[in-house]
Amino acid sequence: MASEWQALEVKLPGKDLLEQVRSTLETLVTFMEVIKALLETISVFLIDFGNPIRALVEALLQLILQLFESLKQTGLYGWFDIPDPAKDPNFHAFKGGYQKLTERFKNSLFDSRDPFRPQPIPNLNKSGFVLIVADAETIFGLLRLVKILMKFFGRELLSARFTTPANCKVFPAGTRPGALGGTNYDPILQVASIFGADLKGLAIEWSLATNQFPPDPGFTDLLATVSSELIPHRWLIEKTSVPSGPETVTVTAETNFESKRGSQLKRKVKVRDENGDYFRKFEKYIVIDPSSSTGTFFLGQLGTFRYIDTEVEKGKNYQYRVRGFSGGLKVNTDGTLPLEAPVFDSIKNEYVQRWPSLSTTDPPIMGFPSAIMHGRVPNLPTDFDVLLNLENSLRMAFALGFHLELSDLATFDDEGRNTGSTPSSEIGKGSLTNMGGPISQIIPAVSLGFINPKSTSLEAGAVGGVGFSESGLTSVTTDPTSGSYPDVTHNFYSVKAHAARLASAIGSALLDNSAMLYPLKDLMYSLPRPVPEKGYFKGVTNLQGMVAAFNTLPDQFPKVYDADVYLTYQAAFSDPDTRLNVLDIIRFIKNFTLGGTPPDWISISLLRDVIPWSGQFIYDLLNRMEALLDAFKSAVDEIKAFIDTLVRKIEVLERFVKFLIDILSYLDSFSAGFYFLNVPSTDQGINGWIQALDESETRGTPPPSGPGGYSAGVALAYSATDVTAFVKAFGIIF
Amino acid sequence: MAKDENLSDEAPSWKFKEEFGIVKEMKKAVELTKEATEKELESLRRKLERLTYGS
Repeated sequence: MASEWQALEVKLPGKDLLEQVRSTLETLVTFMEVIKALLETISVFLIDFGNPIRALVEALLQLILQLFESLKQTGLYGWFDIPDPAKDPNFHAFKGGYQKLTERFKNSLFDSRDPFRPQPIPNLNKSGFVLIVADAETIFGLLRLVKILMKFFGRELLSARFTTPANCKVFPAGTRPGALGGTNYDPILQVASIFGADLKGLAIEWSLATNQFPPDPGFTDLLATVSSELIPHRWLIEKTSVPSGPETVTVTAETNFESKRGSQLKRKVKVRDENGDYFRKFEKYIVIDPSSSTGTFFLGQLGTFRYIDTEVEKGKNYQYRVRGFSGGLKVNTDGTLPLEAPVFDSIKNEYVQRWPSLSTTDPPIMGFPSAIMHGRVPNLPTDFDVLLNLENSLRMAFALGFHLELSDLATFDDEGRNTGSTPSSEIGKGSLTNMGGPISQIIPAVSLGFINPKSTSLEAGAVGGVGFSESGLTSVTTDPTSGSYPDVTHNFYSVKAHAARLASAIGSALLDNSAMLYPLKDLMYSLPRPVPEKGYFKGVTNLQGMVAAFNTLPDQFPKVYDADVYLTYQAAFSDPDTRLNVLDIIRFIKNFTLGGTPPDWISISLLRDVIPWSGQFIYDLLNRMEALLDAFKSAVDEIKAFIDTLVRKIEVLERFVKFLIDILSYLDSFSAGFYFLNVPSTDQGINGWIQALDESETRGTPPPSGPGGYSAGVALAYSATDVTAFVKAFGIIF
Repeated sequence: MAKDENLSDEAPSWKFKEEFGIVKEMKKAVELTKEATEKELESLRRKLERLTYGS
């Protein structure tokens, strides 16, 4: 907004030029209307309203009415020297403190191109002005003040607003992020990298809030968007390890109720922050700005912020949230907040917890926080490759046909061993039926004599095969077309890919339940049942070794020949102990990751389902009480009607108090520190104004920001032969 | 601050205020109204209590 003078009187009909001054008056008139409405409401509801108070309010109304009558005279000028983000923010123009502002003010008085500038005639006209200055150390501080100032004059101005950051997440981290030359990883996409990393902390990641405002033809959201997307504000990470989450700050407040002994009862009241949300106290606060977390701050300007919190214990749950802020937030060196006691805001009628400030001239402006995110560094067992074990186990289970349907006629003993005519190859079947996915139709190669089931030939032996005897292999023939030896199921690409996918999903679930990793390790380090001493199984001492041995394949297999691969597969396939061992592993990982045991939990009602007779008894009792009440109904009804009238009146008055509190909150929104220079009356014309300005530089409390600060201001001036009414009016209004 | 106010009668001087004068006056009026309303409420509540539980 250009710093130019605007006249109140309509010199150019139809021009928008006068809107600002007009709206200033309209706003002041609105204030007056509110008081008038208050009086009217009082007279309707409060018959016994005390006369002294009523007289006081009426006198006030009368005074304000007189003042506005005076203001409606001609000869009032307005000078608005404030940034207008909707047209040209040009924040730099407001730098230089109030010295620069007074320079701009003086220049505007001599600007001959401005026809509306006040030109009081010395010794003939009396004139005066009031200059209201918003003064701040930062542009954000200035915008906050200017917003309040313009709201007072009936104009809305958007100020910086830090909306909730987007895409917030917390995940375990150990190596440096990719942008710093390390490895990027993400638990959703790469579980392997978490298991493979030396976990040292938790990475908290977030990005700038996206603009989700509805389209605005007037671009009034321009500043908010610009401030949140282009101006690098600071961030605050709030952290706690308390299992119940951050503590909501409360105060013990007195109530209007008394105990039987006459002492006043007290109750705990939750305290809110300046945004109106409950103030939740975290254990630690981490500030992200160019000086304290330089890397995070500057890399974040590219779009995604990532902070790695290394002060975490393994296996412990942490809760975080992130919010943007500006201004001077005071945080202790140990990361705690030096919170002062909550203050009672009599205007809002509630307790408020202020954010601690480094200085009174630059209070912190806190943005809205993200949702609370949970994170934990999983306590990974050493010397145990979780994903490799899972993948090997799943590949072996698929190779043994665990994904195929179990025969309806199959029978087993208590230990799970096959009985009667059920072949041992039925053991384990059905345990992965729902998890077969794309490989659900693949039949174990060994059961077909190692013919690759993907082959187009249906004739066994025509595309190569393996013959077995008690002593080992009898014949191995190659595929006459490709020259390859028969392949094994766990080497099929589809089986390997599916096993890897499932292992990743199970691994992800294990990260959330990392306490289960140690039992898994214990299981894999044991060998519940012996495995046959054949092929690669020779010398196997535990389940980890068993699944690794089963999946041992030479490079280039099946182009190269390896008898042990076939011997191992065949031995495992037909051996009940080996199959039961694999089934143990599958059951373990299914218990907590791949769905629970049906039926699921159901809800029950204590009276209806557990003790049905007690419910009936209570219903009978209620019926009898109701009958008793009916007998007294007519008498009670009359008393009730009278009480209802009283209750209704109380309710109306309570609503009225709430309405008053709303008005007070609205009035409170105008509270902010401004610097005022009131020059009530001079007959020396503009020279008198300049002289008053110059002399006032050392008087009173001038704006303190200095050359590095930002200042904006509004001046209202008047000129007439008699300015008594203006002096009086301005004295009260400002 | 008292000195500043004396000065302002004679020569203009800068003042730091946290509230506009008119807002202060309005708050006064609203606070007074609120106070009176709450007194009325209190009296009604007492009546209701007597009626419900006896005096």
